[in-house]
Amino acid sequence: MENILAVLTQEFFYAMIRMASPIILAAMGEVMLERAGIFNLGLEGMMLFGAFFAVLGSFLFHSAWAGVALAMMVGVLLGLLFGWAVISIRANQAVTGTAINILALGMTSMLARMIWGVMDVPLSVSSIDVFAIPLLHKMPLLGYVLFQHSPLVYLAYLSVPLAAFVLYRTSWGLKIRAIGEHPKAAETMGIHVLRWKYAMAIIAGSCATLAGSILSLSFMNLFVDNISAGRGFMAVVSVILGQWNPWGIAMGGLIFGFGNALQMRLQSFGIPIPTDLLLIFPIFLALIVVLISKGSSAARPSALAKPYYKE
Amino acid sequence: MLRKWTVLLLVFLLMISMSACQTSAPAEEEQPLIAPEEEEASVEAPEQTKIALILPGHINDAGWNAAAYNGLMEAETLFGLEVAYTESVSLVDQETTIRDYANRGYNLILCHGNEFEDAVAIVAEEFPDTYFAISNSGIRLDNAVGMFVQNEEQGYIAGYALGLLTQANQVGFVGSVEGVAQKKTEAGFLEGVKAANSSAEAIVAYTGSGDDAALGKETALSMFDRGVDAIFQYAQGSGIGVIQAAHEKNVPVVVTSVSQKEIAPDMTVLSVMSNMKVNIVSAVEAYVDGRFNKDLYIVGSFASGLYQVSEINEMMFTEEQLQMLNDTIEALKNGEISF
Repeated sequence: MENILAVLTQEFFYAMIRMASPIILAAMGEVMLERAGIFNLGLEGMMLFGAFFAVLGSFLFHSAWAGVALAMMVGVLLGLLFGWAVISIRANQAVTGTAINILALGMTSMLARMIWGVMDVPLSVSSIDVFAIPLLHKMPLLGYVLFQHSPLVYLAYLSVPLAAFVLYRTSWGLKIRAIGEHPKAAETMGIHVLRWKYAMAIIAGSCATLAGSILSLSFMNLFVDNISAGRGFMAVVSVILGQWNPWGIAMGGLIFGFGNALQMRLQSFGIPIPTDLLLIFPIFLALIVVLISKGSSAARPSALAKPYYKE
Repeated sequence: MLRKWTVLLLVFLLMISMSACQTSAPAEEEQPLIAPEEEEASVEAPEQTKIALILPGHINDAGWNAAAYNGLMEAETLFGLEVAYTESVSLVDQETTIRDYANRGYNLILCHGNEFEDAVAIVAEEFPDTYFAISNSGIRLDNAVGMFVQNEEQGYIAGYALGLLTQANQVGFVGSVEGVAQKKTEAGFLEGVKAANSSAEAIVAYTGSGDDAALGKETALSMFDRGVDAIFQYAQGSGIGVIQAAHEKNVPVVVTSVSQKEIAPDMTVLSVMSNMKVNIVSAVEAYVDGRFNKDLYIVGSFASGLYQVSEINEMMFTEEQLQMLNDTIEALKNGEISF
């Protein structure tokens, strides 16, 4: 028992906060989109695209922030592409998302090989340094855990109150939620349903690619094939876990961060549990939380994943 | 109306991409198909030895498959053979691909990976005059042998070097997905650590992924947090993250290729590389020399040249430690230490 408590160090919470951040940022984009009635399963692929183009931008312009900018631009394009497929063409949303995931995996690997060649070790580019927030980072205990991260990690956590504010405190949020619940009614109220849906698709795309750039430029300084490794799916799950509420979703993301940070430490403490079981621990934890937090069916946007036909 | 056209356009694009796939795929496979026929017609008299290599992945992966491909190319030039290969053979296609080569009169068929064992066992029985070799396997049939790899040796030397270096008596091992090769390497690592420093403790963690570099980095950081001050990465793509963590936190790290040193130039203890092409060349050589039979024993090890240690960072060791390390490498090469 002492062993298990010894796991919970400052480093542990630091790792948890950091590892949850890309999941949370991607999930914030996703919740805005889902609130507008579109289900985007392609988050994983968008993250992967973001991770790749961030490294490419950093490689081409010798600046990590140029990489982040390029990743964001790609995110906007991906959002438009996804939006065009599911909003204008009214393609099946889950299928389109899956197509983006498959496309991303193949295309990023292929482009990386075309640009940098087949290398034993991936090319390192300039990355984003940790930015310790003045004064705050000197706080005992919490200072290190909360205020010594990469700027993109702060951005990920700032996106949570921002999303909550926009959704619940502004007229824009009201419109978005109305579209997700009953698009026809929203349209009759004079809301440009399609325009809003496109806007949310773009936000979801750029949040996902930004989350990808956290992985490749702030955690690492390079791109390896499939670097997103399932984090996009965890973001999709977090949205459901958090019942489409930004605060709940942030908790969902933190559960994944907590599970992963704990799993790694339990392994290195030599606790006699098979590694494979420990590796699925974060997912298992999420499942338990879903089962005990009885979500109300009202939380789910009623028009989610349904194509909208403008009369 | 607009919608109809976009759908048509999409269908059209899909057809183009599919037809592109179809033309490229057979072209690759047919390469070996056409070559032997021409060969048979022209050089009828002294029948040339034909060797085929079947790979689970692509030849440009800078790793497992690339090494085997290089081995095949080397064998081709060394022994003047006719060679062919097929890439990315999935589990369901294994038997067909092997049988196809056997049917076409290939003398030796090399299957690169122990996942081919079952398929070879079936086909080998049907073609008693064809010989088969399987990488990383201990299979032993009348006409099929495994090309064994002593993974323990790679782990042993890594563990030994880190055992010498550790001050905190905590040495880390980060693996990718638990499998035969990984477990064998881990076992060798534990022994190596103990041999160098009997009071050192080896801490083992697996990332569960061969390409999640970010998770590899976090795993390494969590180990450093626990007090580990010397680490070995054996986690392919995830291992890149381990090396990076070592670089950032100034922890000595053992890497598995010379180029990985670029990520942590100051903290790299040494590189212990496995060169799989050695096994392929020895199998072909054995066949050419007429030694290929049930009793052939191919083992990839330090002794056979499969493992190579390089880039030893002499600044990290004391003179005495360096001597011990070099002696251990010699002992592995001589076979004095074996598993």
